[in-house]
Amino acid sequence: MIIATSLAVRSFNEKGVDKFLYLMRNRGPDLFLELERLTVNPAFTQDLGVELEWKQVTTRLEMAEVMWELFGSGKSLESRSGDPLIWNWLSAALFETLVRGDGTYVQKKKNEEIERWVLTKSSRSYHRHLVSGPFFVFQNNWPNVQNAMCMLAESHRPIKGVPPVLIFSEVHERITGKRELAYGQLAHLATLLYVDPKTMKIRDNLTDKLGEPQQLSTFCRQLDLTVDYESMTVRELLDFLPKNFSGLVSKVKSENPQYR
Amino acid sequence: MSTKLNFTDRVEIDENDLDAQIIEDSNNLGSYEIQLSWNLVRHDLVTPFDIVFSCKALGETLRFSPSQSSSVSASEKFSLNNMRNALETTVGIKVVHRDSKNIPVVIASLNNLIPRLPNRQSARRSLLKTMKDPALHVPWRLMFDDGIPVLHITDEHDLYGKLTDSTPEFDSLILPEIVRQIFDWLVFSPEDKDQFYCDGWKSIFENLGCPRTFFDQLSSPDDEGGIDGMSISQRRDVRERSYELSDEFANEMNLLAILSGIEMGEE
Repeated sequence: MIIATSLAVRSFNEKGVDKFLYLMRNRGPDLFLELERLTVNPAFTQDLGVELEWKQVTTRLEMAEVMWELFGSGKSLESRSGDPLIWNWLSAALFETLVRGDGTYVQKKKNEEIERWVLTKSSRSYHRHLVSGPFFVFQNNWPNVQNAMCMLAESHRPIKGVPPVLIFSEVHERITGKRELAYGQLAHLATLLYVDPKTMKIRDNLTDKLGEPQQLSTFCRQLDLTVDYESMTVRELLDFLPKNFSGLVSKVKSENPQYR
Repeated sequence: MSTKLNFTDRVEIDENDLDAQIIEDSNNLGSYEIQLSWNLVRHDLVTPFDIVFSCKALGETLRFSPSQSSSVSASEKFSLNNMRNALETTVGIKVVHRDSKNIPVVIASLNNLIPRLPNRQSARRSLLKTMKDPALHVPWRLMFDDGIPVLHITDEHDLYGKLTDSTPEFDSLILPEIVRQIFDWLVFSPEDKDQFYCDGWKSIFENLGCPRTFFDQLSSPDDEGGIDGMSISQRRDVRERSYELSDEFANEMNLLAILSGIEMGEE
């Protein structure tokens, strides 16, 4: 079922999550129908008495904004924002809508990482979850969400026929994958380094270049025990980065006079 | 091989200096808070400093600055509402001093303290964490999550309970191989490793007959190239040692005798 306006939110129980995992792993021809039945089956779900105001989202930022209305500060499910049972239910309920009912796309992506859609307690890949991941970026950086656009912005080069909300890029992976980089001043630094301020998209041609996101992650990992870089300001961090970041740092300073 | 070197004379805070206890949030059923009490009086810390705490679980972290961040001794409570796996969290403390160049240098720290959990007075720290993994397609796999060895056991077809509770031979069959893989990880993996687990497993290997100097030699600055500089024959020697230790472990634990004593049903 493709959601148009609003959705009565439910939560899976443990069996519901297992069933969801099974369906997503096998992806049979009736997947959409099976998910629709599962998400309203009282044996596997529980009504939370809350409505989600839905609008068709295209980007990770829009996904985060929609979920913020449910789990954000002062919202009805704020205290359950960390509950995988709800996130998995939302993932199941929104799956057909997010892939725009494209069964061919779903089958083509049959072997994609299961954690993109299913949160399991043991997962090391929570940050890759396409439904909850953007929200946690939003939450961890609220109210300065613009500073975290490196984890929410779409790629400079879109993939034809695939909405950006379904794309988890290399930059997203590197920044959200190291916890210390995913919020606060470090997230802001990464946004300045890797997001084009004019287009608000990820800068083009970052991979294999000096100062690429993996190098930022490695640099911070080397300092973990000796410098509390999380307490540094963006200006301090820009001046603290090693030489291989100099090209990007110069670009950031020319784009942002306040950091010169 | 990664070894923890302390070039900055950072004080290594003792676990007795920090008490951490997770408690249920009385205002919010199913949510948790963490009570942190610290006493660093006995350490000669450079002033001024600020104390920061972090709570980490798989894939998530929270950082707290206590209201009394310059106090050597205090107690404060923080909410873990936003954590998905609050009961799995470990706690870290950093004492930070801005040096003459205004760089926030960590002058004292402790990582990976396991807090006491609700209704328990103490949490024993196991050297091998076990985790139910519904996404695992093989019966088990040893993974090294955040520098810590974690045994993932599949829960596909509800196998977790069957393997761990109803199959007494399961542990006996897999443990020697786990021991061997952990030895390999200690020697060969370039990733950062948690010091507590490193030291704990080295002690186990020492008890199994592997001299402590074996690891020190591998990480010695005098050793040309360290692991990267090892010849093929040296690598082969290490591999053979891992099998010897695995054998010795099985022998010490009497695993084959245990296995032979298990009645194999025909069901």
